[in-house]
Amino acid sequence: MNPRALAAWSLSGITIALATGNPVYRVLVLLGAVNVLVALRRPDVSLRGLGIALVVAGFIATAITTLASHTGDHAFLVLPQAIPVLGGPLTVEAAFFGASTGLGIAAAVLAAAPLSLVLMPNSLVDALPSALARTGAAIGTALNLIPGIARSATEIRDAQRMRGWRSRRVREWPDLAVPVVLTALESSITLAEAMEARGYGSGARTHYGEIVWRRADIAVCVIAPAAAVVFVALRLAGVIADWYPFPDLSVPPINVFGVMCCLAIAIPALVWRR
Amino acid sequence: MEPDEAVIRRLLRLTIALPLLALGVGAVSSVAQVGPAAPLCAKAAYTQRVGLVVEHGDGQVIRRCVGFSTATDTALGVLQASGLEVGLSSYGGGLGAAVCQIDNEPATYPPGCFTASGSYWVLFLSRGGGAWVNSDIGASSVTVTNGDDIGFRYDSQTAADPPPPSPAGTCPAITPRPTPTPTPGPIRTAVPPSKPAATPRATPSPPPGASVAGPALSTPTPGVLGVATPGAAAPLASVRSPGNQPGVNIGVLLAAIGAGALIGRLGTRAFRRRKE
Repeated sequence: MNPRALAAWSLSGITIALATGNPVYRVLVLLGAVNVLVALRRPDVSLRGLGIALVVAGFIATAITTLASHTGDHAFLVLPQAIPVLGGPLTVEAAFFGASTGLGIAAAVLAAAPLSLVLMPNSLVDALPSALARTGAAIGTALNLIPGIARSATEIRDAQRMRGWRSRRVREWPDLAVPVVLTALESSITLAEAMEARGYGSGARTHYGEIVWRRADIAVCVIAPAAAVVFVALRLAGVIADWYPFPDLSVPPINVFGVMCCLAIAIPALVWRR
Repeated sequence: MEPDEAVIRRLLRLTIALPLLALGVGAVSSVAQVGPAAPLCAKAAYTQRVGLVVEHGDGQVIRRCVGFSTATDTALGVLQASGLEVGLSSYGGGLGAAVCQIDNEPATYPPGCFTASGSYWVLFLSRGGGAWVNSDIGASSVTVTNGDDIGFRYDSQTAADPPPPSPAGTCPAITPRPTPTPTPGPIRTAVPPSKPAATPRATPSPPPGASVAGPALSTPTPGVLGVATPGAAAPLASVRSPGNQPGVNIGVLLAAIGAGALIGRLGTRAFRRRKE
């Protein structure tokens, strides 16, 4: 698959997910993105962590909206007004609105996730325009250091424990933090020297393999952005209505063209194969 | 039949059943939007009277004559006593209530009541039959007294705010009733109808005993001074939100089929993965 086409698809999915508050469209984008992730993810990638994180994020969004927004006709619990911010009626409508917000977050994150879970980092950097190649390489390298630092922190903590160190107080944390930072700095310097030895910064970035545009890539690169553009245009024209559950919970309005745009986001799952 | 084939068949059945289930839920939801009726005029039996003119975004005008017994009332109190559906949100910090929705317009609104660019309810005030004046304070802070009129117009945020139609005739003249021959018996006391609950898409209808005329003034009946409702011939709920009428919505059907297909595809893939 073409990384630029996947980036265009990702941007389209995020656009649709964030352009509307209607949970029906958000669910469709979410399902499309999950299908793409499941079908195209790298074999060494697990989706379990991402799924747990999204469920937690959705739960937090629902809880915060339910507790802080006291609008709506159907209260299921009334907290004392003396409690700042939280005091007042907790309504079913606010809970649904929070869940819809959580759905939007999940759909947008899942639309962006293939950039890291489907593509290799070097493919993504290769896909950047030449003007952004060095910046992209630097950012990508910096991001790649994060898991390395996490691994290093775990190793150092285990080593310190074997020496009898226990993290009971905050003032004992430097015993762990200082070696971790020093190790990270050392790794960065080593990486920079290795990149320089390979000619980084001496000229234009070269590519081992050329980026090829196949029919499926062109289909994704055309259909997904077109769906996003049509969706936003219909949204601005008022054809696709937004949804608010206040003051009374109602069924979200569904437009057939909006649904078609959302379903078009699932196109990579149909035309791409890993 | 192979066990794999049986499972795939089951998944396909699920793919078909999900859209049908969603369709059924949608149909039930759209049919279940009929709510109890709301009274047209409340508190009208009192001598202190305030006219209420509500102009919807589509130009439809509703007039109510609302009575109360205290010397003054707030514009919000009059609106709530009119029997029209009202949706409120609190400004917070003692700033009072924001009127987000009147008579189900807009159909829904965000938690903060106002959208960035959409329309909103503009409050006008007419003191003692004078011209409409745009109120610069909220409905819960505006006090009104006998002979005043309040107007709400659903207007966009961008253009100027033209006032609603004249309030003249909103509160009908009281026709003196012929003096009844004193007869022994219990004294009849007019009881104001209870405050209606905010019911979605409620069709306004007169309370028991009230008579409602079209453009002309209604004949006073015991307990009700009278109501003039020019232009309010059809129930608003039936005029607006045509998309909510019962029936098969192609968008709902397509969404259900699409969602079912995507879920079915995920299930099939998970099953194959497990078999491998």
